[in-house]
This record gives sequence, structure tokens and C-alpha cells, in this order.
Amino acid sequence: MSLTGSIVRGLSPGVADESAEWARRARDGDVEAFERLYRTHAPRVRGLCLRLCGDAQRAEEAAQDAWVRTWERLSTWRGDAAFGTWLHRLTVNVVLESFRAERRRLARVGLAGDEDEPDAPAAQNEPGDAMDLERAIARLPRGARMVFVLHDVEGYRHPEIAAMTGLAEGTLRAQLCRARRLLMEMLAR
Amino acid sequence: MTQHLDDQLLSDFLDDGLDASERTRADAHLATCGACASRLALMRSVVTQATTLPRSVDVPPDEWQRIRARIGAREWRGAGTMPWWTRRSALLAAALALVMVSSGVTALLLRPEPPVTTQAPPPVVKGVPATARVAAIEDEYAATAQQLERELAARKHALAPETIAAVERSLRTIDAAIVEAREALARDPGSETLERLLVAGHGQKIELLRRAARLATQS
Repeated sequence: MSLTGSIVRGLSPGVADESAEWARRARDGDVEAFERLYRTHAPRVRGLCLRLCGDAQRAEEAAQDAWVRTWERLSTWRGDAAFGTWLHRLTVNVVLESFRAERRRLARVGLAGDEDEPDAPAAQNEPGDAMDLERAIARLPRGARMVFVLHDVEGYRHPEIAAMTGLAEGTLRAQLCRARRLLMEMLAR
Repeated sequence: MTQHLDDQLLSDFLDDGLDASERTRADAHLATCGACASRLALMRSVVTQATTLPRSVDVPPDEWQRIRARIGAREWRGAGTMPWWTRRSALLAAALALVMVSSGVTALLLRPEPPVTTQAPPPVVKGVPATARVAAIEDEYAATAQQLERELAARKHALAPETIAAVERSLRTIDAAIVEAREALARDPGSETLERLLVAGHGQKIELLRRAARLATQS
């Protein structure tokens, strides 16, 4: 999947107000209002899942899971945070939970999770085909990709990422550095 | 300073994560070392590019249908906050259901003779949206069931293993029936018959749990 959508850095106040109203109605069981929320925020949720997962198939599953979770958890949205912000955080949590679940499955069959995988050499590019940043991010090891996306793409700060991921700040800084170094190498080829 | 700055230091430098003395030393080195300054510029360009990436992507046209299908089966649990009038109606419906629902499953399991009869289903309260009404009823039943399950778990040791097995088997059957009714209702939200079936299932579950807990207390 290509990242060709429009850039949405934030929602205008009007859209945010509408989202809040739809969220309140969806919270009371209004599926049509929930669909309006979906139509407004789905491209953003999808983009986040795609970058965090680095894989279209997984991103598709994660995005759907995020929306189902949103529906189930709407009663916990109290309106004190913008709905988009709340949804964004929930989506990150859904993706991180899927990572943890996979790590547990791998551990059960005796395979290490890929957060610990060594820096894999970047795949060889076709001659004359400079790797773009998007593809390079997708090829990062999962732990490094996760921290890079949350920090450098999504703009979360270190303490927020530490709270979401459970990583110590030192580990987080190391993963961020690792991601940046690998990206520099991949993009320089 | 002759030793080059390592990537971790450069990365922290970009994030303004160095303390004052580290920052001073790094600034001094970068002012005289072209190699480190170039590497810092390269790292900075990666970070800058990252901040300009589009955050939205195209969504498959059928994604909403798949999500809608998935939440359909859980729709009744989605509504966490109800207007007061909806909740009052739901409470009334739940209370009526509890009074009127048959205890046939319980009787079958916990009494020597099984006088299973099908009694009239609870009346459906009119005047509120079906989705909200059923969601509220399910919420109330779920809370009651959890309370009874906790009580039963605390006294479970007083029951014979066969009784426990019978109760658990019946609970599984009732739960399956509830799920089935809920899914059918999601496909046909206006069906009063399905709504009554769903409420009846919850009522049977509550009744079974209540009787089992009482039996454990008396044992």
C-alpha cells in the first residue's frame, strides 16, 4: 500500500467538535454516528497502523481491531480529551498489544521476539532505485520502528512513549538512535 | 576534542537530551569537526523527513463493512452511557424479565424432577430505541451475573463435583444461546421475538446462578 493520502496533521476545530458530538452519540449506541467517526478518522488510523506494523496485512488487522476496540471502549471516553487524540492513543495500544501477544506466542515455541533481533542488513535496492523513507521505516526492526514512528513521525515525547510501551527511557533512546542510524544507512545506498 | 561523537550522542543532541556540560562539549566539537557535523546533518534530515510524512493513507472501500460486521455481534455492549430515561426503562424491563423468566434450566439441573415449562417471555418496553434498550438490559444482567458468579465461586467448595459440573455445563449452554440470540438480533435489530429470547437467556442465567449460590449456602 502506498502512502498517498492527504496530510492530516490535526483536525480543524469544526471537525473536532463534530467528532465529539458523534462520539457522544456513538457512545449511546448510535452506529451511524460511529460510522461518521470512522469515515473521518479511518485514514489516520490506517496510516498509524501501517507505519507501526510495517506490513499491510498486519496493519489491516490492527486497524480493524482498533475500531472494534473503539466501539467497545467508547464509554470510557469522557470528552475531556479530543476524540482524535483518544482514538490515536487507543490505536497505538492495540498495535502494541498485538506485538506483545505475538512475542508471547513466539516465546512459547522457543523463538525470540524480534525486538531483540540484530540489526538486519537492509535489503538490496534495485539499481537506480533509491529507497524512500517510507519503505526504509517498514524495514526497521520492530522495536526500533515502533519508537521511531511514535517519536519522530507522530511526535510523542519520550515519557509518553515510555508510558505506552513500558520501555525504560534509556532503552527507548537507544532504540531511537538505532532506528535513525539504520535509516541513514538505508537511505544512503 | 579529537574523538568523534557517537550516534547515540548525536541522537540525544537532536532531541535536546544532553545536559549542559555534554551540550557544551558537543557544540565545541561540532564547530571544528566536519565529519561529525555532516553526520548530525544527515541524521537531522532523516528526522525532518519523518515529520513531513503524510499521516493518512487510503482506506480499503470495504473496510467499514467488515468492521460493522464485527461490532454487530457486540453492538449491545457498546453503549456504556445511557440517558436516564433509557436506563430507567431498561431497569424496568430487566426487573420484569427476572420475575417472569422461566427457571426451567435450573429446575432441570438442580431438582430431582424436571418440570420444564416455557413461560411467557418478558414484555418489551416500548418507547426507547431497541439498540439502547437491549444494551442497557444486557449491562444490568452482566453486572448481576458477575456478582452472583463471585458469590458462587466463594462457596463452590460446598457443592458436589457433579453439581458443579452440571451448573457449568448449563451455563455454557445458556451463554451459547445468549450469544446466538445477540448475533441474530444484530442482524435483525427490530425483532421483538429475538429481543425477548435474548432477555430470557439472561434471565435463565441469573436464575441458575442464584439457585446454585443458594444451594451452596445451604449445603
